[in-house]
Amino acid sequence: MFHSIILYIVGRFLFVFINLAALYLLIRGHNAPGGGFIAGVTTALSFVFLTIISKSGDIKKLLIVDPIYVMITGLSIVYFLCLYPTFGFKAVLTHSQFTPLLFDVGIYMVVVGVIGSVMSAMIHNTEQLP
Amino acid sequence: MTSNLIVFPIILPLITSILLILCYKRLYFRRYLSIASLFLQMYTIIVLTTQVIKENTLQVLYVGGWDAPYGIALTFDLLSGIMTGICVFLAIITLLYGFGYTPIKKEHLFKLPLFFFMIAGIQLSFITGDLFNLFVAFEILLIASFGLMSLESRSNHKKYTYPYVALNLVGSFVFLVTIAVTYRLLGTLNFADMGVRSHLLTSDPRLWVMGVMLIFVFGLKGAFFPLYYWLPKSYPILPTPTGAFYAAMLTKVGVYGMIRLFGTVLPHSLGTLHTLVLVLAIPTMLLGILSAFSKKSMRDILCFNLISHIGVIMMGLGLFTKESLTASLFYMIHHMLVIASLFLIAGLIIKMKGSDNIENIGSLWKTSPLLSGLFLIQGLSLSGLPPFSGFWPTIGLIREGLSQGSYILVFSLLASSLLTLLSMVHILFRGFWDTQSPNVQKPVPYFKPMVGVAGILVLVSLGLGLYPEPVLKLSHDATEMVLNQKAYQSQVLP
Repeated sequence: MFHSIILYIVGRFLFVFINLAALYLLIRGHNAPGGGFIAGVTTALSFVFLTIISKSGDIKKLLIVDPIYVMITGLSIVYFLCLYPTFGFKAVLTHSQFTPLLFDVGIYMVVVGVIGSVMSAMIHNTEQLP
Repeated sequence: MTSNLIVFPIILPLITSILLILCYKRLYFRRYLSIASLFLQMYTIIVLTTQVIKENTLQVLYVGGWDAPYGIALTFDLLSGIMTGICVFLAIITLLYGFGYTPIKKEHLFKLPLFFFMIAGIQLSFITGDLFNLFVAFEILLIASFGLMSLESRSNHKKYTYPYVALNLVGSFVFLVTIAVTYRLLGTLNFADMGVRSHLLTSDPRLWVMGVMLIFVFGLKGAFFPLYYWLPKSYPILPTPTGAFYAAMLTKVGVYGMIRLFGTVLPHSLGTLHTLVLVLAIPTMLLGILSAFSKKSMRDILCFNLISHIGVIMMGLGLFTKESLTASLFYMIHHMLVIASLFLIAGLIIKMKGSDNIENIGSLWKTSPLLSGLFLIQGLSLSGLPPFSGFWPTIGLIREGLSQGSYILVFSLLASSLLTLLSMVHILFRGFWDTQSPNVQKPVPYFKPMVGVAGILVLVSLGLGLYPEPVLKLSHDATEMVLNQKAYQSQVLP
């Protein structure tokens, strides 16, 4: 894997801005184009970018936790919000004031987790190729 | 009428799969948890189905509180009840059998979670009342089944997963295009609303285009005549318990989609499309079973038999009378139980003899009369001989075919039934009766209760053959509910 110091320095700054954009997309998604999925893809790609430009080339070293746990946490949030209205005898997935944003956060975590784990497996595999 | 119970057959497997990933270290607990979750799911399905039978209405849930044509409606009628119930029953049977088949240390960590994601997809496709949601359900079950297939197959067989993945991805793409066409044509994707609006367009050729595309999509999932290439390549590479579940359930999802779309949604006057299904049914019935004679492995033979029997179900669909659809539905119930049990028996033979090649197993009558007896019963049932469960739907289809005057169809149905009998007799004579060939592998000891689990399935299908009235009545009522479009529309649309 190639390693360029200029790309690395610039890339670390870019990483912050990509994630700020992702955060903007996540919050804006409540009533406009955007939302959990798009934001999740953006964040996951920022991690992939950082992995490619950094020397170690292992996404799991950059993340504090295994991406699969991020996915499970996100899914748990989504399932909880899906079933939560049944306690108040409303239809499943009925939303109130803040739950759509939380739901989006859940989806965001699922997407980051899935793409993160898939990409870490793929980067890991292609490194061994000649 | 809002009842949140409808969502539980979908959400329970999803929650279970998360729990199964989280407690990956407690191997025995995972197995108990998965069986317990399936029994809970069975309980909710039984409660829902009894409600449907008692009130003779659909159970409808407007997800998120959005009313019918705008939001997604989940509908549960008798057909959904039958299909989801059999799916859970077969899942319990194949999982219990699989626990004996694979040693607990060798079971892959993600096998059970993926299996549960697949069940969630199957149940959602049986329960949903929205075309796009049906697409989502297909995607969930396909992606989970791709994963399961590539996890479970041996590394030298991985290449056979590609036809499955590639053709099903093409199918998903065409499904998406079909949805776009539907939305352009009707302006809605809700089944009830689609029904109301398509009745105004019955003479419009665009409706036929949509119908042909739907036949293509469901035909690809259900292995109809020109599109069945992927099935006999990919199913035999799976370990038999998973293979049994795939063979029993996954093609039936496509057939269910056909019944739902042509029975409940599209107008019944589209005779040209029904004829197209009939025309495709004849080669599906005959070509599938003829290919079975060139195969030596029991699972290959069963897969080609499966294609031929999809053709039989299509024949009932194409004739499109109340009686023929009832017979089709009964045939589907019978076939899911029988093909799964035949796969499980083949798995036991693999465990015993080290192979399911009929040249190699030899003289099983002597070594294991019980297994041979079970196979004999199910083989005869598959070919539709009188005291067994295959007889009743076959005779119903023949009677409907004769009363409609379609003699070619009746002839090919009888031919395919006879050829099924021949292929079963072929297995019985070559594999069970002939003397043992010298190049036999050493037998492997297997877990005895596995025979019991396969036996339960055989007993259920035997009971279905000896006392068919309740199931016949159930499938008759389910067909009536499916065909009653006015009631469906008035109950779903507020």
